[in-house]
Amino acid sequence: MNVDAMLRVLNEEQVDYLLIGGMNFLIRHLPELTFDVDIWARDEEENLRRLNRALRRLGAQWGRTEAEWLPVPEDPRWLEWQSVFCLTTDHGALDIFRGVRGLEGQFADCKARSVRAETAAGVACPSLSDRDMLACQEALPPNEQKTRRMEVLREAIRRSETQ
Amino acid sequence: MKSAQLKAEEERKRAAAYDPAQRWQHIQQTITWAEANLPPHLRRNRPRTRGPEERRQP
Repeated sequence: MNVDAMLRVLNEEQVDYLLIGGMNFLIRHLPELTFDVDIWARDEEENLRRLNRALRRLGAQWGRTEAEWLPVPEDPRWLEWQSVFCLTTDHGALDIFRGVRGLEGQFADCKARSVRAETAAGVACPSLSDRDMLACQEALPPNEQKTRRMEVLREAIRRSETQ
Repeated sequence: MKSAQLKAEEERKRAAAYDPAQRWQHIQQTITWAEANLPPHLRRNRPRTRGPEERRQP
């Protein structure tokens, strides 16, 4: 998976997004087994249009069923059909969220609290803050929570508060 | 469909639709990328300080 290529295209198309999930945790804290890039896109018509342009450049494919798996359509309205999409792209698996559990309706606030992360290749991306990553985990049922990730996030938050 | 159910169904569909060779290649690339993006002290292929046992060797 070429994570840098995915982030670069999202940036070039000026998509308003936040990097979330395991890849965000990996860039900022510790290695975690993850084979997709998760992004939370601002749920607004023009932004979804930009996102769709980026997805088409990345060779993204999706289908209502696996038998209908095809390149994403030119018309961006398909992105309004669901709150989450798991896509394949030429560069790897990409998950698109229009809403995030535990942070419903808070994209603008989370973006304001986000951290500018940078990959080893120098590609910058807006990264969900530790506090908001923790809020996502806390909103999950206990059996789905990633306890190691939560411990690391709590420790990082505690350290940042004492500095 | 609840969001957790929807996510699970989306992941199932993608896994079924993924070209196996491409998926394997993407996983390998992810491992390489993740390694390069870890802090230096967590990388597997990092220079290590020789320990006391090694230092005793001629």
